[in-house]
Amino acid sequence: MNKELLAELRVDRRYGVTIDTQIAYAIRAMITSNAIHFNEELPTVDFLAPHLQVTVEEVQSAYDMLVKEKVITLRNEVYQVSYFEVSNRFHQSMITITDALKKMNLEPSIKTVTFTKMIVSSSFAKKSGLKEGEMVLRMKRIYSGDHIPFIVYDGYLPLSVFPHLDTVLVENEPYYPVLVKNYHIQFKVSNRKLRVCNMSPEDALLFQVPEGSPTYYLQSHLYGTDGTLLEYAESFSSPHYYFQYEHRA
Amino acid sequence: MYHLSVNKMLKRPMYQQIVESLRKSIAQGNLRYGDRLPTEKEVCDLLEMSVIVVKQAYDILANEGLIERIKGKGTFVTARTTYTIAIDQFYRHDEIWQMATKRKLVLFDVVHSDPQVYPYLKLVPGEKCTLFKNVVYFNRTPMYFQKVFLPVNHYEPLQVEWVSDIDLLTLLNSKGKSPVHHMVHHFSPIALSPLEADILQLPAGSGGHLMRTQLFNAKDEIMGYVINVIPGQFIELEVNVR
Repeated sequence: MNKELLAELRVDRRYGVTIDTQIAYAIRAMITSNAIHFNEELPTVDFLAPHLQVTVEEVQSAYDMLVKEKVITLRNEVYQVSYFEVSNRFHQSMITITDALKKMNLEPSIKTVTFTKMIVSSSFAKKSGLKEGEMVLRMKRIYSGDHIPFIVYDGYLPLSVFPHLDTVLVENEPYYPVLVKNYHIQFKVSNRKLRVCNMSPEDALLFQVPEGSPTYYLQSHLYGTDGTLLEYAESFSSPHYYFQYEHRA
Repeated sequence: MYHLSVNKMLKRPMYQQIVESLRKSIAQGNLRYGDRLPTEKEVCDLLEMSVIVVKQAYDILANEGLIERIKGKGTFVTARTTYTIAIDQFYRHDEIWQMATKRKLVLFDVVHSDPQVYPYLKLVPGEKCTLFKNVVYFNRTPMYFQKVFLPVNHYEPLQVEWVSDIDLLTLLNSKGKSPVHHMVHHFSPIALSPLEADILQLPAGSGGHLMRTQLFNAKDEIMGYVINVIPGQFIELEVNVR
C-alpha cells in the first residue's frame, strides 16, 4: 500500500461504528475500488495500529473480518488481497476461465465430470438456441484455482459445427484453443445473462458453503463471426465471486 | 374471479381448464404478483363443481410455483415476470423496457458521515452528502431497492420531490454541476435480509444482485455512490462480450 493510500486510511471516533469495523470498511472500499489490487500486501498489524492511533487488537479484528469475508488472506504471515477481481477482463473482453485464473495468480486446474454426446430435446432447444434433434457434445467441468472450486461450467457444442470433437478434445484441458486450431473458427460475441440463485445441496457441498448460498448462474451463447451458435453453456460460480463492469454513461 | 373461465361442454377435464385459464391470466399480466385468488370454496360455488377438482387445479399451479397458499390468508399469485437488462443500460431501464417505473421514496436526508460509503466517495466525516432511498416499482411489483449518496458539493440543492419523480440519471445530469461521464459497477451475489426481502416481496434468504455503482465525471471525480438490491431471479443482467 503506497503512502497516499495509507494517508487516506483513517478512522474517526465520532462515528457510531466500532474502530475495527471502520478499518475493515475503509480497506474493503480501497480493494473494491481497485486502489489496492489482487495479491498486494497490506501493512502489518504492528505498523498500522500506531499509524491510525488505534490498538493492535482493533487492527487485528479488522483484518480477521476481511479474512472471513475472503477479501484478504494470510499467506506466509503477510496479509494480501485475495479479492476475486476478474471482472474487468472476464466480462469485458473474451478471456478463457483458465487465463482469468492465471491472471489472479491462481494455479488453474480442470476436472471433467461429464463428457458425453447427446441429442437436443425440444425443451432444451428452446432455452439453448441449439437445433432440436441435433447431436451435441456436453462437457461439464469444474474449474478450480489453487484447487479451490471456482466455476462449474456446463457447455454444449454442436457436432455439426465441430465434427468428431469428442475424439479431438483432451479431457481436463482448455478447449477453446483446440476449437480455434482444429476448426479455424473465430469468436464474434458471447452473450451472457446473469441471475442470482440459491445453491443446491450438491453445489453447496462442492463449493464448501452452506446450502442455499447465493451464487451467480450464467447462461451464455457464443457466436462465430458468421453468426453461427458455437456453444451454449450454463455455469455456477463460487459465492465468493465478484465482478466489476465499467462503461461510459 | 373474472380471470377464471371454464366450459363444461368441452371434454377436457375441468381441473385442466382451471389450470389453463389461470396460467393464461398470469402470463398475460391480468393476474399479477401478490394478487389474491378466490378460495377453493368460492370457485366451487361459482362454477358448481366439486372442491376436489379446484384443489387439484390449485395443487398443480402451486407445484409450478405460480401460486402459493398462505395459511389463514388465502392463495396468492407468486409468479413474477423476469426482466432482462444490459448492465450498461441499467440506469436507462425505463427507456429500454419501454415502461414507466414508479419510485416510492423511503428516506430523504442529508448525512454528515457514513463509514461504509464515505471511503468510496472520498469524503471525510463532517462533509455533507444527500442520501435518499427509493423502492422502484413496475406494475405494483417492486423491481429493486436503491440507496443513493450524492455529495452536496457536486449538485445544486436537491428537492425531495425530484428524487421520486425523476429517474436517477436524468436527475444527476440535470442537477449535477457536471454530467455523469462513466460508471463502475461492482456486482456480488447476496442472500436478501429479512428487511430487503420484505421490501422486494420475496422470501428472506432469496438470492439477489448487490450492485454498487460509483459515478464519475469527465475529470474522474466521484460524483455519487448508488447501492441497488435487485431480485436475483427476476432481473437478469445481460452483457455482450466481444
